[in-house]
Amino acid sequence: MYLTKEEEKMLDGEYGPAVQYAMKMLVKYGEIFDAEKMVEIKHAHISCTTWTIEYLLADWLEDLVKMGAKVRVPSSSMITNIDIDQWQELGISKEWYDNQMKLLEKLKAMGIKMELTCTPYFIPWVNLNFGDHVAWCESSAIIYGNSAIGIRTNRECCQSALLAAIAGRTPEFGFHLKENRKGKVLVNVKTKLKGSYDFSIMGYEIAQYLGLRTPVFKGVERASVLDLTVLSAALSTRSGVTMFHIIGATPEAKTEEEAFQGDKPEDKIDFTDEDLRKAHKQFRVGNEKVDYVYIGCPHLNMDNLKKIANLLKGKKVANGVKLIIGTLKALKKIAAEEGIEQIIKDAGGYLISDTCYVAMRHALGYPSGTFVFNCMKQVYYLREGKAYIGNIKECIDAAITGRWSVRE
Amino acid sequence: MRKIILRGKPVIEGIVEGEAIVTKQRLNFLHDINKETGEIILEGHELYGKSVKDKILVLPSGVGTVGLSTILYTLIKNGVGPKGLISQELETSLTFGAILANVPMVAQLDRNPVEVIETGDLVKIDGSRGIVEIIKKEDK
Repeated sequence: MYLTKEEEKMLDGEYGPAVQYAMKMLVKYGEIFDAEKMVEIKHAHISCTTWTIEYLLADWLEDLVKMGAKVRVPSSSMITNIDIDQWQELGISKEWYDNQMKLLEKLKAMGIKMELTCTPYFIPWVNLNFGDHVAWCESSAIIYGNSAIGIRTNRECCQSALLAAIAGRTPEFGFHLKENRKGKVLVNVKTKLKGSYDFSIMGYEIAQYLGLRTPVFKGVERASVLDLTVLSAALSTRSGVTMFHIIGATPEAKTEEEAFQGDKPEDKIDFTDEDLRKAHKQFRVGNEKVDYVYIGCPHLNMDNLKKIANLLKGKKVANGVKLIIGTLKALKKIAAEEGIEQIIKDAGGYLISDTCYVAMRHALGYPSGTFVFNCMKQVYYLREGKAYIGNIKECIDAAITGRWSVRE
Repeated sequence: MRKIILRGKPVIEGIVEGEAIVTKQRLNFLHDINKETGEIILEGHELYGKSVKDKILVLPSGVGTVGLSTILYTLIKNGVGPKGLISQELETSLTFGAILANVPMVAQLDRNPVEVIETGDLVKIDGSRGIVEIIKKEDK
């Protein structure tokens, strides 16, 4: 692997042991994937933030801090298992908070901003342009960023993203190179997608056939930001894809030819009325009392927070139902200033940041019941009950009436 | 004794030998494996109830969460991880987990390992040379 003079110095330890360690690991990583060189990154999004998954990384992070590790590029952080400001109101123990902070303090010491979100692309100070190279962790953000914005990142894990931030670069292979961004599987969408839930269901159903192969969706008339975020999150459950294309809607797929870069698809899959009907039967059709409603997978932008406030204004969440809305810290602050948070509180709901329901359920003690979510990723990871998927309006209606009611 | 030899890409160095646990179905490490026992906990999965502990895990590729690097690292630290990895496709987060946990790994073999190897076969991995030796369970 070719290294610049500067990178040689980093590897030789001239910038201290942390940079040296980061470069050593990244070179090894690059050599395995046949990278010819490193590419400088503009931003990193780093996990190592969820106590349930990453508790054993505390020592690894502590070693990095002791070596004097600092990030060289603007870096933000992934969600945790709790809302670090409202944990008490949510009934989470101090032990959870303390544990969670053990990880976060180490990340803070390295200069990582405590944004604690799965949607780095909504952070106001993260200004990325088409073609920018980054190192992102969080499977749904990786897919959304590559597909909808055209930034370039591989499926980085928390460690590779953190080490890339410390070195300011990542090996150039995979999705950093244009030729690897072409579509592989053509998905003919032969049904009308009626709500964001249909985008999420389609992602979840198609994911099982993809492995690592980039899908190209054909026949989707239009897609909102919410549609694309829930599609990204759903694809990230059962596949290992890094991006998708929608012909006519995403930036590297103005035409079918561009999406496949002139190649023929390796495989073709139809997504039909029948596929959707079956999935609706499994994940939507039902008539029962609801216990939990969570909207915010992935974290919501201002547009959708406003929509929720309009739906909730002057209404009350039904007795016995917990309504939780999830967004990122920076937008929660704006939502507070604009009175959106107050509307949600007055209705009896919670506006949270730093986490989501399925990540927080560990800290809540795994309550069981009937759940309504806006994304298949939550449905997939939940284990304690029945989960339905709806659009924002259906989720809010369920919270207000206390019932989920969708007929076949 | 019949021995089958596959050749592929050396990924993580080291030589290990053990019983294979093979899945053609995708495995989301975060959702489908118990971190404390190494057991597959996804009902309906072909490996449901089996453990990856001290086995050679053979799979098509890593999928799902990019937290799988950490789950692999955690399984190894908890003493319930696989001894070696054979993955047909080279996926980033599984590979980085193997780098961190230092698990011998081979990928991109000349024949698809999930077709050739069955659960229970005896498998030896040479992660430095990219060689996999298989003794079928009926020949053991």
